[in-house]
Amino acid sequence: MTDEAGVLLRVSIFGFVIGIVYWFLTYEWLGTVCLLTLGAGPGVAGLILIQEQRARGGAGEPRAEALRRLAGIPPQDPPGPKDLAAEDLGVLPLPTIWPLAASLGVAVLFTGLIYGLWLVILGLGLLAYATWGWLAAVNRENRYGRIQADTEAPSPQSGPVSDPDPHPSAAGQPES
Amino acid sequence: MATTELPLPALPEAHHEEPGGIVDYLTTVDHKKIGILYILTAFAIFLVGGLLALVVRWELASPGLQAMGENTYNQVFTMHGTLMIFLFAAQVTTGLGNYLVPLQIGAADVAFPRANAMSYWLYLFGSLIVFSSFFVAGGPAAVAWTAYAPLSTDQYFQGTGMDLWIIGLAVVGVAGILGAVNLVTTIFRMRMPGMTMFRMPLFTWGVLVNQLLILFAFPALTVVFALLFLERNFGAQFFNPEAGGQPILFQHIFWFFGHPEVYIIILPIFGIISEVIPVFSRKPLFGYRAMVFAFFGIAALSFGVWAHHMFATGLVYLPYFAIMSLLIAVPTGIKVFNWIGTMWRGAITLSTAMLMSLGFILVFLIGGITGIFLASPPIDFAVNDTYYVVAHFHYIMVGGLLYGMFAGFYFWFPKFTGRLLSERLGKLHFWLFLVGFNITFFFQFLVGLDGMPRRIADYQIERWASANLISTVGAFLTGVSVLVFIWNFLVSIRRGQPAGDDPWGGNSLEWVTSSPPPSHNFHHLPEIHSERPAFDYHHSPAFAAGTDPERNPDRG
Repeated sequence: MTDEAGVLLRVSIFGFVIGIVYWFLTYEWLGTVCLLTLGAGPGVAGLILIQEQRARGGAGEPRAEALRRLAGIPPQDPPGPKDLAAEDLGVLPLPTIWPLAASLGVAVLFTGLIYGLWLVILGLGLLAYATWGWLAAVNRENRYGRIQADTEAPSPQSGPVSDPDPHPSAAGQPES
Repeated sequence: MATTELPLPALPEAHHEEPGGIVDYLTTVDHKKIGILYILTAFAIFLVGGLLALVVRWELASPGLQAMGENTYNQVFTMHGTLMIFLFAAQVTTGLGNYLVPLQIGAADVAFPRANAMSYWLYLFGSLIVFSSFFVAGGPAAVAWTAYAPLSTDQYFQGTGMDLWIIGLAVVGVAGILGAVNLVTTIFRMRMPGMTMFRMPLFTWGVLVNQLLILFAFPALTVVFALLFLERNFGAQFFNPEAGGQPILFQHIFWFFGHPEVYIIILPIFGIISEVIPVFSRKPLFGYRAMVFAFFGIAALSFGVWAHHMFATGLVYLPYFAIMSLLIAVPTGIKVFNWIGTMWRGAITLSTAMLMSLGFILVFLIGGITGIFLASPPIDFAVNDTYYVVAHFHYIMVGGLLYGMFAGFYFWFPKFTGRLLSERLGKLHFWLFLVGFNITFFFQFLVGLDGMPRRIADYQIERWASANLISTVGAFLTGVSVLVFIWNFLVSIRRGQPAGDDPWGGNSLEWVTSSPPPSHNFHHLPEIHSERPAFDYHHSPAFAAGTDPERNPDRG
């Protein structure tokens, strides 16, 4: 189990324990529901992380080590690699106006709840347009590479395009 | 499969010039620029909220109504609290986290850069919606930042201003959740090899726990605002007792968000203090792991204490909430102990950032200890809704937050800009702020214990007048201290002394890269051995011999 999953599962255990204690002390349902939800949310996220690690082929830790980690006693970590260069950190996405446009759409949509349906429709339209533009930009960058997507339209003579390796390095990579 | 030759993933600066000026900021997905946008927006909101605070103090300087009517007064203190708590305090630390977390974990950016930009724009537009309530008929909300139902329902408070308040904050809430998903994913998934969880800087830990709190607490806020909006506009009856609703429901859900909100605000500040004190004490942080577990202890307990804000309702189980509230003092005490342990026998440099950190410990201790008294129901019943409570939470939320924030600004300004803030002006800022802040709020403890209620525009009890006048003078002195900081900022950003990459001898990875960092953050990353990678690197034999890749890029 990773440290990340351990963090989430600890929060989850706390939520469930405190929720149960709270219920038997108070019989007050709303706080109990909130606390149990606090237990359930990170619990699900933690289990997903564990499942994902297994799906990636990680054999996982021995049970005793996992329990030690859950108790906050992780094993001694090895040092990182030497001479990691900036290229190893991955590529950055291009500047884009679509997040601003989508946010404006959300703001107009919400404000429409006060001022009327016409504003809701306007906000929804703007949000839909921005979402389309956003996804198209992401798709273009993923298919043709960051620089080509920015500078020129892909040539029809260039033929089918294989997706470049979206994870060129061991380190993480920005996605969307 | 037929393929074409594709350009290799390349460094942004090598092949691509991003547009400059305002277009650059409108379209940016760079976490550093977004962080700066967050910080500047939050600081602008802080200035407006601060002006409203001065208006409140002006009104209370002497008995009688001087400046405004009672409804206007209600609007002023409501918007002061709203701007400061929702739109400034929780956001300025998100801005610092945005800028610093990827640098501290050795990442090129956050996990979802475009969604990160959207978080900021949602925050900005939500804030503008709240501000727009100043300009509608009837003016802005006047039901305090807590907006308790049924007072805030259409039965008792009509007007579009209240609806804009709800909608604006709901949009900001969505921004917060989106930002939290992003930063948590970044910390979980984007750390460079060797940067294990228990080698992360304490500021990154603070941001991680803070964003987890946002993730679990903000949905409660969104829910309660949705219920309130439905009740005000669509005839729902969640909080109306005459129709079977429960007024207490609002308080339960609101405070399930509201108390963690205190720690949402303060945990990154703990992180800042935990970064500054070791650097200016020339020692490693005392009790690194204890500090991490204290973060989690505080965060976990913060979800179990919400109803200590509701003692006076008579509808909550007092012993449970009193015990849980008192328990928070334990992990908080661990933190203060460890900060003192770090300074103990250290080679302390009293830079402005360090002075601000010491000021933080002082005011946070006063705020924390007075809070322990409030966790005791008999005392809470006696001082509930008095200026004692106002003074207590301002010692935490204003003192704690602002001292920590300014410590962070003075500490990281060289990294943001490549220039140092003036230490001379910084120390003037610190002393004015220390005196002004304590004069403002300490006297509020006294009038609060004497029974002066909060949220009143007028009082006719003469013995409260002198304390209120002193408090007002202190507030204006605090305002002057902020002007000194702004002056320092404006002068230093143009003519400040060049800082170099690591002016303080810092511990965490951001001090390895240039000031300001390149768009991809690093030219080269050192091997990680401990929670002080920059310190290790700058004291390595290769660095001393000048053969390291950072100083000799050709060899990297």
